[in-house]
Parts: sequence; C-alpha cells; structure tokens
Amino acid sequence: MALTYQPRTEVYRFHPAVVLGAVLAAIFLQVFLPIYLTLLTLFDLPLLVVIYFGFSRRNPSSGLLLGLAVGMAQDLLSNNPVGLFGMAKTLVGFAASSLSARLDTDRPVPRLLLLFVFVHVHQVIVASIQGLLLGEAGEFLGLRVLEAALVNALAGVLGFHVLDRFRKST
Amino acid sequence: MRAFLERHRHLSLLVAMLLAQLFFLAYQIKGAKDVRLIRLWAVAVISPFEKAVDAVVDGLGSLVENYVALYGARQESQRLRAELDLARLRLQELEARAAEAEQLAALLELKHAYPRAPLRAAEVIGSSPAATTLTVLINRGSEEGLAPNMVVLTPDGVVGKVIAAFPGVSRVLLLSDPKSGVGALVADSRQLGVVKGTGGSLCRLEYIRNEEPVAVGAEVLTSGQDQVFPKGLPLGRVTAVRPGEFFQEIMVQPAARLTRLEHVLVLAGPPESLTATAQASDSSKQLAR
Repeated sequence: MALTYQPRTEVYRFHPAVVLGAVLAAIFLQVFLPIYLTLLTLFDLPLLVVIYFGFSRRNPSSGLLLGLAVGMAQDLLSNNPVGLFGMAKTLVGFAASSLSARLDTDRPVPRLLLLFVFVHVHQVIVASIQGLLLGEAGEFLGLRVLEAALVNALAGVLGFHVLDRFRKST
Repeated sequence: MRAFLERHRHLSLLVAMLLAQLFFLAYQIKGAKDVRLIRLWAVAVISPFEKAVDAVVDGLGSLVENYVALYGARQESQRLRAELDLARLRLQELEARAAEAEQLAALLELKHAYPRAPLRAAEVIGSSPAATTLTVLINRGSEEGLAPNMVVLTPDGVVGKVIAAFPGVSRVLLLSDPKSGVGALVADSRQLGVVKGTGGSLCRLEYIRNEEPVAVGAEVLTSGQDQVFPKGLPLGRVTAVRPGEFFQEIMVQPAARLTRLEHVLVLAGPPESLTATAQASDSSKQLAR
C-alpha cells in the first residue's frame, strides 16, 4: 500500500533559481497556454508547483509562503481580487508541507491521490471565498472539478518526476 | 505568548498570512453599496461596542432624564396642585362675588323700583352671639340715619326690623326670632293675622280663625297694620295648616333666606315712604318676583 503512515525525515532543498524558474514557468504557461489550447484551462500549474515544493521541503512555513506568493501572483495577473488564489494556495501549501511529514509523498500513487484531493481542497477554498466574500457563486464540486482534479493529478505526477531531478537531499 | 508563537510558528504564520490576505481581499472588495468590505467589517466589529456603549450611555441618560423628568414632574405636580387650589379658591371667591353681585344687582333693582324710597344698602357683618335670639348686625348705623323699627328687607322679602342703631352698626331682629311679630295677610283670601317667629326656620301665622280656610302654599304679605312694615311686602308662604282651639296653627316659610343673609336694604324712613312712591303698585310685584 502506497498511502501508509511512514514518517519521513528527509528534506530536500532546491536551488533558488529552480524554485523561481518553476514558479515563473508555471505562471507563464498558465497564462499563455490556455489561449492556444482550451483544454489547458483545466490545469492549475501554479498549484502543482506549490504542492510539489510543499511535499519536498516539508516545511509548513516555506510551503505557505510559497503558496502565498504564487497565489498572489496568479491573482495579480488575473482579474481576481488579490488574495483569492493567494489564500487558497497558502492553505494548500501549508497542508501539503504538513502532510508530507507524515505521508510518503515521493511515490507516484500517493502523489496522485494527494494531488487529486488537493485540487478539490483548493477549489473548495476558492469557491468558499467567492461565495462568502465576493458574493459570487463559486463551483465547489462537480464534473469539471473532477476532471480538473484528474488532469492535474496526472500532470502533477509527471511534472513532479521531472522536478525531482533538481532536488537535493539535505 | 511568544513561546506559544514559537512553538506553533507555522500555524501562527499561516494564520497571519491568511488574515493579511483576508484584510487585503476585504480592502479590495466593494459591497452592494460600493463600500469596501474592509469598511463593512470594521463597522461590523466596532458597531457592537458602539451600540453597547451607546445603549449604556442612552440608558444612563434616559435614567437621569427620567429621574430629572420625574423630579420635574413632581415639582410640576406640586406647582399645579397649588395652582389648582389657588384656582379653586379663586373660583369660590368669584362664585361668591358673582352671588354677591347678583344679590347687589337684585338690591339695586329693588332700589330702582322705589326711586324715592330712602333705601339704604347694608351688609350683614355679624350674627347673634346667643342662640336664644335671632338677630344680625349690619354695617349701617345711626350715622346713616338708621333707627329702631326701620324695615330690613331683601329682594326676596322681609328680613326683619332694626331694633338698635349704633354708630356704624345696627342690630336687626329677624322675622324668625320668637320676639318678632309682623302684621300679615294671606294674599289670596285677604285674611289678617300676625306672623311670629318660632326661633326655628319657620314662622307662625297666628290669629287666623279655624273657620277661615287657608291653603298650603298661599302667599303671606305684610298687612301694614303694625305701622312698622309697609303693606304688601312678601313675608313667606304657608307650608302647613292645622286647626287649633280657636285659631289655626299655620306655619310659614319666610320668603327671605334668613340663614343666608349677606346684603340687605334698610328702609330709612317711615313705612309710608315706600308705599307712597309712584311705583308703589309695582313694588309688591318686584318683591314677589
């Protein structure tokens, strides 16, 4: 069973350029790719980056701060009020970092499952903020969210595998 | 606190970041009335305290106001009560004055009815000091030409006669005094008699024989035969008739309200001076009225 309680103490570190590059690439792709391929609107590459570095660093503070930065950047580049994705990704970054200390997040299956869950969590948080603060009807769960969760989970497993090449054990 | 924050630094940071973004988000968002959400939140946070303070201040203010109002109301009530008492007193005074004015008007009317008669208006200033005699004191005396046996009357009828005249004061013997006697006649039957006082509120008409019928309610006038009272002045009305040994026992209610005398007229002259006037024929009608 992949998703087992197996405390991990191994913490990875990344070159700042890798983190910065990954974040910028994710945001850049998130901004421009959907223009050419509508299907890519299902992707949330910045979310995947946040989750990945949360899993790898296993530090809740750095995880939430990265989520905060990425989310706010995403908000700034979109028409969202700044803080909508910021809050959601802060929470997700914190949760991912916290969970990674208790779960094996280096294997594909746990990653897949956790990504699937986190996409839903992220969506629930965004929809909650939209509903409670913005007065907008956000989509909590549904087919589109399910599709997005599956797509992002699969993409995340692949992407994480690529990023694993840039990490270093401490 | 610091130890707690250090122990839970990740969670603290998370909460701080979330709150910061929440406020930032609220700052950007405008509500339905184009008011930033942060302002609405600020108002929502502050308003309960403001309302509480306002309620306390209002409550205290209301309490003080009510106390002051109550105190004021009490004072107002006392003031109004005093004013009411004063007004009642004033009303009584005015009523008394009105009654007095009415009496004076009647006296004046009577005086005008006898323009040549030496009628002197007088005010009753005292009554009898002894219950055995029914007399009153009036504020006209010998200096005004009053003398014993002068007739005292009111527009209602005969009161009595002056029995003593002093400077400025005269004593009047009322019709109801047991020592009083007035020559009388029954207006309808023209039967002659004497009206005497009984010491009570009623008088007695004497010397009317049993065979001479007298009706209850008959008017009794002065006969003029006593040479003191002019003829035809109202004395009273018969209230009861009983046959006696020779004469009937006839009770008469005096026409003048002898127990409530305030103003009277004194005929400061002989009885003829009233009847000899040109309007003598009207006098009885006037007095009777």
